[in-house]
Amino acid sequence: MRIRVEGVEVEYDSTPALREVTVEFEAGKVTCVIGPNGAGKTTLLKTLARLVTPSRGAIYIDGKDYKYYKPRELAKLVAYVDPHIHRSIPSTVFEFIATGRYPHQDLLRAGYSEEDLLVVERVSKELGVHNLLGRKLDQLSSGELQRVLIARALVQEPRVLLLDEPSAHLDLRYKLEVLDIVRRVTTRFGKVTVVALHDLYLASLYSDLVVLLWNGRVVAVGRPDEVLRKDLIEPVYGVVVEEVIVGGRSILIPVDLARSSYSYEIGVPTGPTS
Amino acid sequence: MHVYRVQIRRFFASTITLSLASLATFLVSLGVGPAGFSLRWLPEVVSGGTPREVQVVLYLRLVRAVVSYATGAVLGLSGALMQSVTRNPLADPFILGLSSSALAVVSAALVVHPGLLAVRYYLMVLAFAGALLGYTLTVALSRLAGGGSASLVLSGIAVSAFFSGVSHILLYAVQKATGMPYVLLLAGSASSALARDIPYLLASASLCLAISLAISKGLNAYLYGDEYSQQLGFNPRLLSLAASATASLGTGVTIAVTGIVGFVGLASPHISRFLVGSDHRFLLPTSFLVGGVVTLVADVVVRLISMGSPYGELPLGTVTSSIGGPFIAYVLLRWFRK
Repeated sequence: MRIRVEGVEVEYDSTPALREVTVEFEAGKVTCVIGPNGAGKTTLLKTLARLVTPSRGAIYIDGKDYKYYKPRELAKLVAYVDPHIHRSIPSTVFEFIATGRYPHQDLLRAGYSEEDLLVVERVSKELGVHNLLGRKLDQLSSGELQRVLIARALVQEPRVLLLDEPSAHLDLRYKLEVLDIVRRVTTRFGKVTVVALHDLYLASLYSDLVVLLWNGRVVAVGRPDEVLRKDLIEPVYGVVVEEVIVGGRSILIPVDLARSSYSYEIGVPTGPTS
Repeated sequence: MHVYRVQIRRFFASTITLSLASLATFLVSLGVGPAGFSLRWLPEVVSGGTPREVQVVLYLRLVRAVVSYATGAVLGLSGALMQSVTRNPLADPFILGLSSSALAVVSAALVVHPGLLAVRYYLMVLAFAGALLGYTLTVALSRLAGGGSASLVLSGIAVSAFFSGVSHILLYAVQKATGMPYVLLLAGSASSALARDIPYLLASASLCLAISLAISKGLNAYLYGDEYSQQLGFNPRLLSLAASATASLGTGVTIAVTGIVGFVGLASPHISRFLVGSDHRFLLPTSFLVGGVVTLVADVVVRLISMGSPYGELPLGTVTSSIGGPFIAYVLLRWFRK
């Protein structure tokens, strides 16, 4: 499977959020989308989930235009892990996770089939949330919730997995564990996985491909070592970084705000001026 | 899977218990009333050997019991739909202004044409439109005020207060024209319901239940967000429209027949969630049954209190509000203590 985003532009109230984005995502590979706040990472993920409609351009799954997929047909293919779900009406972890099976059920089917329950059980064990199934969603810690959100998406058994900041709120161990599971699922089942990440080190550890976004534009696409470079990261993030080699891997560490070489307004990087 | 099987068992146990409770309350309600005939007449009524007046009294009680039960059932269902569609545990048709706006429209129609009191079908249609108007105004006001949970409840209170005021003024005129104590419409009563209201009430109740069950899976997804339901293949706008229209229809029909019976719509979904969880496939039918039982019990209490009262029949809403007031306090404490 291959997803091709071709010249996609997205606007929110005539403010551009994505501009002429052209990029390709492949099956069995984890692609990390990085960039500063407001760069368009979430918008790109939502566009891939068809939650946002592009004003221009198109997205193709194996050559077929996204817009020709019926909602339920697309729901079987694509799962989006939204970190912001409503939890005001109390429901259990099981009730939430099991909704991931809906795209695979007949519309008139009243309950969950044995197969549905097996998938829920297998995935919840894999993500270590099996013992939380009877708990209320609003009683979970942030880390537990994050794993539950990912479990729900995997229960959907999608071919395309979109994750928005899956390592947020997780401690060091769970960050690695969750991303490890994402990577394992991607390679074992040949999924197209796109992850929006803030942590550049995690991006370098877990991605096959990195897409660097800035002001809604794709600045660079390539292997982690091709994109996570001082000359690309410094102007985009507006910080001075140092390259450190740890275990044979290059890591970028921010050391100071960029003051002289870039024109940088808070929240709106305007790019290198020199 | 253990959690799911437990949930199914709890649903069937609750359904059987609530059905038995419904039947028991029905029987008790046939034996309670100002005429003083008790249930010991029942076997003779069935065999046809009772005096005519006893048959008439029991028939009137049966009508009243069916109307009370159906009213409560529809309100319980409407409350569950309102809470899900607004994702707000404090929502119900009364708090969100649907009941008051429906009553205001009914009152206005009765001022213009008092004879409509005998043609409930038209009143039901008007009340449905009124409930939709109230809901639309509440949601619009809430969005203008920022769109949070608190703003929704406060908008509902504002809309409800406005239409309650309008209803009070109009119902004075209705009382003058029809001789019906306006407090019965304002605070709800099954005493003025007629046997010919029952088919409309039952048809609406069945329709509301059928639509609710048809959208129950969608509502399970909708509960977690518009985008969440959309990425599972549902249309959130359509779900929201179907749920609010169904709740408005249910509320409107009950307003036209019994007037405002407050807080049943708030309490029933919470009791039901405690019994069967939040899955709408279980929650909606359970809210329907809980609403019916609670309202019929309240009507029996009304009859018991009224039997020895020198002031005549109490409105049904006074009893449901007396239970609902402390209940809303309980929900608030649970909600804000998190």
